[in-house]
Amino acid sequence: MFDAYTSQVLTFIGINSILALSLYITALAGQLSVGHAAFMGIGAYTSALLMAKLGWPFFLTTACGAVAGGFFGFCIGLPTLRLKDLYLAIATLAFNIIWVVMVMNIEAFGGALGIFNVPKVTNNWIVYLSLGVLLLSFYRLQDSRMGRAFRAIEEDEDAARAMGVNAVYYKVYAFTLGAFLAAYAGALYAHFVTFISPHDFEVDRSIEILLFVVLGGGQTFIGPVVGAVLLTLAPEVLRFLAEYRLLVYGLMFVVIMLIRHEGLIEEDTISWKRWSRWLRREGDASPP
Amino acid sequence: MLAALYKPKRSQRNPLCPPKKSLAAKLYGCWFNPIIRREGKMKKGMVLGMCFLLAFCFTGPRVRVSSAADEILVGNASSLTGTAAQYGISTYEGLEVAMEEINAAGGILGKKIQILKGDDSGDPRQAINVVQKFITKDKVLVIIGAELTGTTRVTGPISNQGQMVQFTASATGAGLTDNLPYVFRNALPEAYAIPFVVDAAKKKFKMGSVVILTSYNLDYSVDLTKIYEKALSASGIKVQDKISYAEGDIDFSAQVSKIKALKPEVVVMTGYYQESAQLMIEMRKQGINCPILGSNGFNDPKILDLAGKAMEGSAWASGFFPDNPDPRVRKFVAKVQEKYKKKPNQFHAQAYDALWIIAEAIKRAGVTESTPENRTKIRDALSRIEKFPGVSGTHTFRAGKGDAEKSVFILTLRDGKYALLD
Amino acid sequence: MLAQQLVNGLTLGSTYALVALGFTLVFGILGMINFAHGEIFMLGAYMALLLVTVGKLGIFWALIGGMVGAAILGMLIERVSFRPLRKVSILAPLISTIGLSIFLRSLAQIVFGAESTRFPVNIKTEFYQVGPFQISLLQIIILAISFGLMSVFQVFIQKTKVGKAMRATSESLYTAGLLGIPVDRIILLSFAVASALGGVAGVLVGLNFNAISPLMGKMVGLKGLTIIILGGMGNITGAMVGGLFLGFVEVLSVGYLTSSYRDAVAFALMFLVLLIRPTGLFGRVAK
Repeated sequence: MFDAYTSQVLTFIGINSILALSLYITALAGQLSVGHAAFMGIGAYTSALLMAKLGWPFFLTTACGAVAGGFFGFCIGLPTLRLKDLYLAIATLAFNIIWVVMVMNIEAFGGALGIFNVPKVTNNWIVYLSLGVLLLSFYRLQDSRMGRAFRAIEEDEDAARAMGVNAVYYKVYAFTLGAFLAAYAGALYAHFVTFISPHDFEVDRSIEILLFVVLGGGQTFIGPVVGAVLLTLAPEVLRFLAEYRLLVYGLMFVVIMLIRHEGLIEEDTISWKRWSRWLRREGDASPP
Repeated sequence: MLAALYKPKRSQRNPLCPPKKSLAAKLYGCWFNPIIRREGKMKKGMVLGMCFLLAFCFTGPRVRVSSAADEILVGNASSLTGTAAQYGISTYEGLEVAMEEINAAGGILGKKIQILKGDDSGDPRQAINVVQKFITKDKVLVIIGAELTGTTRVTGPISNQGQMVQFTASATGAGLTDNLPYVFRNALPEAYAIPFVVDAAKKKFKMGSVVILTSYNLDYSVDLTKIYEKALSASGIKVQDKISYAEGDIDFSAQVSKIKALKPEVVVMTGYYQESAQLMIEMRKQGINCPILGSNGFNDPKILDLAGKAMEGSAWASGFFPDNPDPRVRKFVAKVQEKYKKKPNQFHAQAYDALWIIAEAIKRAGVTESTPENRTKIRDALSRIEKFPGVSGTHTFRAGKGDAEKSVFILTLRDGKYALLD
Repeated sequence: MLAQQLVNGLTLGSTYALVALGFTLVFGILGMINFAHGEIFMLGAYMALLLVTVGKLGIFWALIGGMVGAAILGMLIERVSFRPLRKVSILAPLISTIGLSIFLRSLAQIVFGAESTRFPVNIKTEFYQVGPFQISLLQIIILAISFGLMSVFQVFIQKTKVGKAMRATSESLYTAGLLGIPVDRIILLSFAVASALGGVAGVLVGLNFNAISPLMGKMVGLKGLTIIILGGMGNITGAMVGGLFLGFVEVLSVGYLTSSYRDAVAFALMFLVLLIRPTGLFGRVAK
């Protein structure tokens, strides 16, 4: 249907969208993580190693990879509960760096050489089916009890606690789920690129995922996906920029913060009510 | 109905009614919420500047991808940005020199060569995209790349599957061409070159105890350390200790003090040239004067710039000897010096040879259109090339093996100039 | 070897301390982290390099030039990333400076080349043997400059009127404004001072190791972050002591443990401190 190149780009878009959503869900509960690449790496390595050493089938290894990621997410999310904003961001950053150094040093994981000849199993069907399921879940999450609890915690944790929302439970849940999804995306990545090394999961990758959410908008679940799509296509479309690509990339962060710090997609952008009011020219309606 | 005639115009209905904004203005005002506008007169110039940047992005220098009808497209997948950028840029420069020479002589089969840049930043993920694009979208005839072992390892199978010849002029990892009939290289695999270095060093230096320095987060260095260990133990030389550092480190005083305490007779360095140069300088500063054995990473003249006298007496393997009196080499060196104001390094030389060899293969195959059958013809022609004289040595390819057979030069630094170790 | 390693640690640590001071100043006043500080460190070194190679000036002027250039850069960053975004959220300036650091790093790579560049040093390499220590003239100069600057800075902060204004602002922006302190200008000034210190550290590193590269700011910036967490964000003594401490820890872990875990040690320490005592070893308990 698509030629090999387009198909490849589509797969990367799908995987990046899942990654963006994984960061989004931790951010939903008010926790900014700059270390998601480590969870991605955990999923990738677990899945690749299980398949190489034990010969398990794809679905089993991917599931195990995701669970391993979730486990580490739990281990990190629990003790860091009382860290706010900036401190949590730095703690997750530290975790990312430590993880990379550890894996580099362990021979059994391939060290700096990484693992190659990982069997290529991921294809667009698997990726987009997973993404579809995720999007549906997020849509349903918005109005569910859990979704509202997340929003309450993000707005004001103390007030939420006072209202009886079990902040501890939800925050750890969000963190674990985010790590789980990131690890799942990592496993998909490993079985697509067929070669993984610790360098693939360094802090730069965490920042890349952060940019998906920052560019696309962290208020709705559509935002991160839009960010992922745009930023995966950008290097391909802007290939002529070659050496200047990183320059534009960095500048983009700065400019977005100045011009539209909520990101491209705000809550109002996809609100049906706002659109219909504006289209019908009611009262003081303005475009969303 | 007459009342309609007296209906005042919309804008005059209520003096407090704000003037109607056009749709575009509304969208802009609501969509972009510039904090800079709210805060007052801040950088209008900044917005202007951003517009310029965007304009530049979309109208700026573009890489011309012309149709393949009148040109032969060669894709160069390499790391033009990132930590290995220095090697990638050298490779591209070498290709450019060769391209100009070939085109000046009339091109191949009457068509001129054009080289497409494909930057992968040394990242395997991007390398895959670059190579896949070269095969599917740009329909190049041949790919020269990738630059590094890691990127070549992932892209080789892709080129192989797409029946596209991929020729690397710089990746030296083990097994990159095994079982991949479309992948070739003229870079010296380390596993092949290191035993020569150890042999030559044994004859020249006392090698009772050796310390190896490894850049633990660099796959190239970790690989090379294992190769050195094997070669040293095969020669019966004891490895006293392995000390590691990280690529990107700037302070090596601690590692060097540790070396000083161990008092080895030879130190082996396995990393890229930046850190190796720093280590050499620090070693000489702390008074360690034993000889140093190096690696392919030493093949950039920048290391001489950085390390200067600290490098005297060290030895390493190279595919290219810049002070080779051979007239072809001298002409090449002069050309690179004139065009880029620098002395060519091994990467320039091997890339230069690579393009010439490929040009020869294309000429022998007699085809210029990029189809799988034609590319297979080029592959067959390439694997039959024997004794091709290049600036980095005489190349011979054998059927079934992608690695070129060529000579290994053991170089050393004597009185600030490169010389052959003897 | 221990004695030598201690000297190494001291030299390295004093550089770290200067960088950390920069971070801590900004955090103390604004409560935000300037992620581009590592790049200021790197660009300070390059500005000094330009002065020495193109301007043909001596080392002294190179140091001054590096400081001034870095200070100007720091003020620019404040105007672009911090002033407009201060009121938006705590994380907005963070994200903006992350982008700036990527931008500055690639700008330096394009302008100066991706490779290391030699930093010319015109000081003779003389070694002095003091007991079991072997210290070079260069190292002595570097230590003198670092500690000198730190002392000057301490005096500035504690004894001068401007320093007092800075301390007041760091305690409470709002109250300081009420008391008539020109808050915006003080913030700009703190950025200038913080960046100047970072720039000088860059020049000293260039002198010490004879080479600078566009990528050297990345790790140093992150290490600086580690230090202020160890020492307490916003705490000046903490930054200085923390810097020296980290220098020693790193050097000793290389000398006696496996050196490949060197970076992990620093960040693991930071992680532990964050979990156990987020305000740092010297920090106040309430913030």
